[in-house]
Order: sequence, then structure tokens, then C-alpha cells
Amino acid sequence: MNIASETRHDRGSGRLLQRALSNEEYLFLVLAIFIGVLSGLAVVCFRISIDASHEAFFGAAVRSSPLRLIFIPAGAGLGVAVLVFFFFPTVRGSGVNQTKAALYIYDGIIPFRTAVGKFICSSLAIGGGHSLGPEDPSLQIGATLASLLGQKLQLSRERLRLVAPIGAAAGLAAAFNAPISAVLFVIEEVVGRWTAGIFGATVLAAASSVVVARWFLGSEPLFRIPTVEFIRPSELLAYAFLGVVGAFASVVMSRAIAALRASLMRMPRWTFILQPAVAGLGIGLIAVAGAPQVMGAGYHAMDQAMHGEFTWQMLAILAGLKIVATTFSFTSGTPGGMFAPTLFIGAMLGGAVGGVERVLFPHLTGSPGTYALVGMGVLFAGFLRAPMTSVFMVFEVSGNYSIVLPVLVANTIAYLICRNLQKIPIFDLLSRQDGVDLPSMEEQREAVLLRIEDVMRQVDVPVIRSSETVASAIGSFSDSQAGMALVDDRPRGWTAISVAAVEHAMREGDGNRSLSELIQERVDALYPDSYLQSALHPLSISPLLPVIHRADPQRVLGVVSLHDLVERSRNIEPFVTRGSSAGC
Amino acid sequence: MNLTLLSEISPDAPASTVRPISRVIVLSLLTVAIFLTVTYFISNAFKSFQRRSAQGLFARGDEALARGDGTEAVADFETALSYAPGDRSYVLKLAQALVRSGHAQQASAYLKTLRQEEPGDGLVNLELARIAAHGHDITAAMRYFHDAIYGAWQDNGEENRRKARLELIEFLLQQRANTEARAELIGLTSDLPHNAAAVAAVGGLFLAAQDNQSALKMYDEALKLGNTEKTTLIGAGTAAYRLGQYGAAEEYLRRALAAGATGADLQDMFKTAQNILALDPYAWGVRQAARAERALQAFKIAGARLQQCTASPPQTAVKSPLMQQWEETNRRITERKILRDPDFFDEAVGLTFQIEDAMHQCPNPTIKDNALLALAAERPDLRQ
Repeated sequence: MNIASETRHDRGSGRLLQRALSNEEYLFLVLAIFIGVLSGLAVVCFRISIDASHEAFFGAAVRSSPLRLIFIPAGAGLGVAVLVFFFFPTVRGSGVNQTKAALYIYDGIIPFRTAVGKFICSSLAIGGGHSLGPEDPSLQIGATLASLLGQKLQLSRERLRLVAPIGAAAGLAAAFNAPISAVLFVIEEVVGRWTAGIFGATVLAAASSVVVARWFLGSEPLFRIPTVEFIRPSELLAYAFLGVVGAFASVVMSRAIAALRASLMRMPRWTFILQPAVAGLGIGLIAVAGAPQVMGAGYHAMDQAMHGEFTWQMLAILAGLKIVATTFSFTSGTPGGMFAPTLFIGAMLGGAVGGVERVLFPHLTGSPGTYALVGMGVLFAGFLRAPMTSVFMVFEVSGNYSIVLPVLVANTIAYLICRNLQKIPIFDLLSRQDGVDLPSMEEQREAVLLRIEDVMRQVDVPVIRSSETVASAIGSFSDSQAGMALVDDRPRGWTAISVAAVEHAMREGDGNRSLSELIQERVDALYPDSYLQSALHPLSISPLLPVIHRADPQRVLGVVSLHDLVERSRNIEPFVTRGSSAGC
Repeated sequence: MNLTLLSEISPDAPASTVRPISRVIVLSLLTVAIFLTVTYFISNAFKSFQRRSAQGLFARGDEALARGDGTEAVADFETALSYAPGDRSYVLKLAQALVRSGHAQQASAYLKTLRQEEPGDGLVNLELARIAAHGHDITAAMRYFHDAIYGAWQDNGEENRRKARLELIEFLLQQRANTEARAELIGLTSDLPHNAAAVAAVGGLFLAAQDNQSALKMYDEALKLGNTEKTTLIGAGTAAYRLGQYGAAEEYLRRALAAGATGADLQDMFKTAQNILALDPYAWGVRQAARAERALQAFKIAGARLQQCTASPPQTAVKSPLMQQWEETNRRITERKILRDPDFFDEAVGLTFQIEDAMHQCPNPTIKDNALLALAAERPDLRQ
């Protein structure tokens, strides 16, 4: 094939490929809206089914009979266990790790059966009183619908991987009625990065799902937030203390779940049918003992805590019992989420700490609702280890910016303490217990990323301008012992040339030709602050690369070769040491 | 989670085999339409069920509240609210039930949330005012009461605003904030219905706020409107008495007694008023001779009072200056001398008033002593 025909063919293929690519780009954004709408509809049906289950099991009474309280969670647990064991084995757990697995392991594919099973089993479990929340299952249902749509549309592998988290954001946004928090959570905890495309699609999907959910379910929040205010800066100390207490509660809950789950998973497989029933029985007994508020998601109790309807003693008891109840429900494999229980525990703990502080320091002005709200954020940051999401979540549900300082202080303290006491976040712990090593978003965030300056070496080769002749270049080589030289052909770029290539050119009679006439491929220079990844492609073209100063491009600060990259990287430990799967 | 490999995509698979956009959109729209329709029907059916449940629970809670069972009402309203989370009337009822069952702080939290949504809601502000009043927080109570008075009411706005102001006034009177109460009463009179009962009630409030002038004016108006209840007459008599209008006071109180009013205080006030009218030596329209007679009588009464209050064994008696003064004047005083010597008249009456004033803390004064004391209070210039 001659050069001319090659060029025409390339241009035609290029246009087709370009058209296909841009087609999928637009398609992806349009798809995000449909994903959002479908996820919103699914979540609406899901929430209705939970309410209907609850109504069917417990009726309209606020306080059910003791027999109902004991046997319905146990019965629901048994029914759910049978369904999970025989029909829907993949629906155990919250759904967050399953969505991550779809992204990192299964190329974005989640079987539709998973959504069906999650829908049915979680509805029964939560409606039947298990101490779990609907947000995580909604996340997985949204992800599954998105995956199904993506598969039907035969999206590229790259797009198919991304479509599940977009659906997850949509599902979570509809369940939580909080689009910003949902987008942030998925980016922070599932995807781990964001580009314009990911962000745009996620936002579109989340917004669409929230519109749909609000259309059907109304725009009322899950729990009413009373007037919250933060008056005196000196009260930050009170909230800081709440952050400390919340951190320890988060660690206790993480370790309890990890330990009990590990034990239960080691039991014979046939016991998996009974574990949710036993967990339900335990929850029922707690309810009969005087704390029915621990059943289900607990939004009503959160509402009451926000409005100061409990004493601080009761709030502390409820926080503790909810930890126990959630541990029972979740570790037994009952499908359902941990978001709502986390918020519940945070609200109760916040209210309890606030109550104690007001007894000790009556001049404190923070209302019970303020402490409860901040407490929610604290547990979100400490237990779920989503610090950014926790801050925005508090603002989104309260619509109040005046408590920004307490939220920032308390959440940060909780997060930092938990990172020290519990090295592995709960979701990572759970995935490792399942034998799946999913990438830890927290570890990725904390990883020390190598830069060019970490691996480059001093300029120990000649730097020749491309306008020089081959004969002149020979001279430069003779002045140094280097076997290679850098050729500066800017503005077109740089390249490296070996002494052998130059000598060959001399023998061919090209001594008077300039080096620029002989250069075939050029690369851009590197900068010292660039990440190593930016060097990989150029190094495949040129064996040696210059590192130049950003403000003074004429200054060559160093050089990098593939050998430098490998050798110098060996001496650096960029990754955080991992702890054991049982927590440390 | 037992994860099995669910699919494998060959590395040689084409990067993209995208179906045409139009087909995608059509299929997606169809799916959404079907799903939307199904969700619509499910949602409507369930909402309808929730609405019915909420209404039933609300009615039950209302009955419990009317019975006075705050705890039961709270439970019913809370459940109703869980079915209809955005319903303001439910939240309001819940707050009222919480107040009734002694959970004012919780009620306050709900009410403040409602107030944040609609700051001008009259009923919400009134409930908050009541909570603040219960906690003796005058500043907060006044703020909320005013917001209730000038706020928006769904039904009977005028009447509700008037009731709110009345409640505020009663609260201020309880807190002895008479100045603020008087200011509110003036506001109340501006849109008072023109009926005898309302006017008389306001008169009573003015009286409680120590604004006797306004009280008497209100009572007079009430009487003109035909309210001749004994309470109105007593109020009018009291106001007149406090204002020193003893003639009017005597008339009102006489009518009150004739209407069947009873009470030792009422009798005392009436008799005192009578005696004031009978003993006042400076009363308008009294002949000179009668003045002298009254002055002499008053002088004797004061002397008896002085002797009663300063009684001690004669052999060790050291007479007080006042007693000496009285005895010295008593030696000279005659009705004829009082009649003919205006200065002596004033001197005698002044001494009378001085004695009564000095002895006012001495127990067991007679009605006549009280009358003279009241007269003395009006003539500080005569007391030496």
C-alpha cells in the first residue's frame, strides 16, 4: 500500500471512529437521564413496598403487641434467609461492595436477578423490623438497572464499567432524597475519581432520580430537621468532644460487625438459613424490652430525637441498642443497608452527648436537634469513612449552613481518630471477608503518588539542538562518555539519539544534514511535579526524556529513562501498610 | 458474598458496537413509560391508603386530646404524621398534644420548625407564646404573642387575634408587668366589639393593671350598654373608690350590694366610702355648721384612735408629742371655735389627718378611721 492510499484509508476510518465515539459520548449522557428516571421509579416502588410490608406486619399502631414484635422480625428473617439461600445468593450484604465489584471485577455487569432479589428481600427484612436501611439496597438496585441498560445497549467495556456507579448514585439519591451526597458518595467511595464525563453523567442521573422520587413521594425529608443554630465559637469544644465519642462508637461498631460476621461465616452453610431468624429474634427481644425504635430504618425515632423527645439517657441507650441490633441484622446476612442505622446511631449519640454536656455546662446553647444532626455526620465520617460526603450530607438534609463549623470539626476529628484506630474501613473489611480484594478508595486517597522528581537523575548526557549537523553531534558525543544524547527540536518536541545512530548517519554520508531532518518521532518534555504515569507513553517512543522547569523551559533539570523509573521506584514505599481483615 | 465470574469480555472484542441512538431512545422511552405507569398506580393506591389511615388516626388523636389524654393523642398524631409527613395540621396537633402531656420542649421544637416555614402563622406563634409564658420567659412570650396577634389566621382572624391579645394581657398581669399590660389593653380597646360583656371584661383588666381611670371609663360604658351585673358594679365602684370619687363609688357599691353582691371587703369598701362622704369636712356643698360638726367628729375619732394605739399604764405614761398635741387642741376645740376660726379648723383637721396617718399601721382600725385615712391621703398639705 502506498503512502497516499494509506492516508485516505486512515482519514475515513478516523472519521467513522470519531463518529462512533462521539455517538457514545452523547448516548452516555442521555442514558444517564434514563438511568436516573428508572432508578427513581424503582426506588419509589421499593420504599412503598417497605412501607406496605411494615403495614402488613405491624399494622398502624405505634406500639405493637409483644408477640408481634418478637416473632415478625424472626419470621421475616427466616423468609428472607430462605429466599437468599435458594434463589438470590448474591443479595446478601448492603450492596455497596457488590456495586464496586461490578466496576472493578465484572466489567460493569450485575445480573438483573440481583435487583429483583434485593428488592424483595430487603423490603421484607426492613419492613419486618430488621435494623437495616433502604439506601444501600437502593444503590444496588439503581446500579443493576443501569448495568442492564448498558448491556442491552452494548456499550463499550469502559462505559459499561462506569454505568453501574452512575445507576448507584441515582438509586442512592432517590432513596436519600439527597442528590449531592449521593454523587459525592459514589465518587468518593465507589469510583474513586472523577472526570468531566463521570461527574456529568452521575449528576444527571442523580438529579433525574430525585425529581422522579419527589414527584411520587413528595419533597418532605425522611426526618424533619428542627431549627438548628450555632451561636458561640466556644461551643466548638463541645462538638469536638462529640467527634471523639462518635469515633469510638464507630470503631466499636466496625469491630463488632467484623468479628461477628467472620464468626458467623465460619459456621456450617445450613445455618445461613437460621441466622437472620435468630437476629430477628434478638431484635424483637430488644424491642419488647422497651426499645422498639431500633427496628427498621428508624427515621421516626430520628425525628423524635431531633425534636428533643427523648432524655439523654434514653438516647444513649438507643444508640447502644441500635449498634447491637444492626450488628445482628447485618452480620446474619440479611439484605439491607447500613446508612440509615449509621445516621440513627449518630443522631442518638449526638443527642446523648449534647444532653450530658448541657447538664454539665448549662450555658451551652446548642439544641438537641443540633447535636443530633452533627452526630449523624460524625458517624457517617467515622463509620462509613466518607468524610466529604458526611459534611455535605448534613447541609443537604438540614438546609442550614450555620452549623458548618461544628460539622467540619466533629466530622474531621471522628474521621482522623477512626483512621488511627481502625486502619481498614468497614466496606473494605467486608469485601476481604468475602474473599474479594476490592481497591480501597481510602488507601488510594492516602497513597503517596510518585512524581517525576522522585525518579529523575541529573543531566549526564549531552543536550544538542536539532539544528546541529550530524558531524557536529559526533563532536558532542566525543566530549562525553554518554551513549545517548537529548535532541531539542522545540517547538516540535524532544527526542533521544544514540551515538550508534549518529555514526551510522555519518557513514551514510549525512554528515552535513541537520539532526531535525533525521528525527522521526518527537515527545513533549516532562515536568518534575508530573506523576509517573505521564512518562509511560513518552518513554515508549523515546528511551530518554528531559525534565524541564515550568517557569523556565530552557532549564533542563534532569533526565528520566525507563531504567531510572524502575530502579528508583524500588526504593520508595508509596502505599499504606494494610492491616488484618479482622480489624486492628 | 460468593462472587463468581459472571462474564468475560475478550480483549479482542471491538471497542464499541453501539446501536443507533434513535432506537435506544425509543426503547428507553417505552420502558420508562411502562414503568412510570405501573409506579403511578401503585403509588396512588398506597398514598390513598396512607391518607385514609392518617385521617383516621388524626380523628382518634383529636378525640383523645379532647378527653385530655395527651399521651394517647401524641401516639396517634405521631403515627398519623408518619403517614402524612408534610401535613402542618398534624404537626400542629402533635405539638398541642405534647404540650398537653407535659412535653413542652419537644412541642417547642416542632412549632419552631413550623414557624421557620411560615413565620406569620398565628396559631403556631400562639402555641409558642403559651410555652414561653409557661416558662415565664416574658421576652419570648411577648414576641410570640405579638406575632400571633399580627399573624395570619385561617378562620375568625379578628376574634383569634383578640383572644391572643387577651391571653397576653393576662400573662403580663400575672407577671406584674402592669406597664406592658396597660399598653396592650389600649391596643385591645381599639378593636373591641361593642358589647357590654366584652367592655366590662376589659374594664376588669384595666383595674388589674392599676389603670383605674380607664377601668372606670370601661365600666361606665358597660353599664350604659346595659350590663348591670354585680361584677360590673363592683368593678366600677372599686375603680371610682381608687380614684377618690367616693360619691360614685358609694353609688356603684350600693347598687352592687342591692344586686346581691356579698363579701366583707365589699362591705368595708362601701361603708368606708359612706363614711368618707359623711366625714369629709371639705366636701363640696356642705354648710359651714355641718363642716364644723364633721371636723369635731373627726377630731374625736382620731383621738380615740390615738388613745387605742398608744394605750399604756397611766402611772408610767410618757405622752407622745402627738398625744400632747391632741390633748392641748382638745382642751381648746369646740364646735363654735371651729366654725368661727378657719385657721383653727384647718389645724384641727390637719392634726386629725396626721394622727390617722401616723397610726395607720396600728391594728384594728374602725371604718371611720379608714375613711379618715383615705381623706388624709388626699390632703397631704394639711398633715403637719
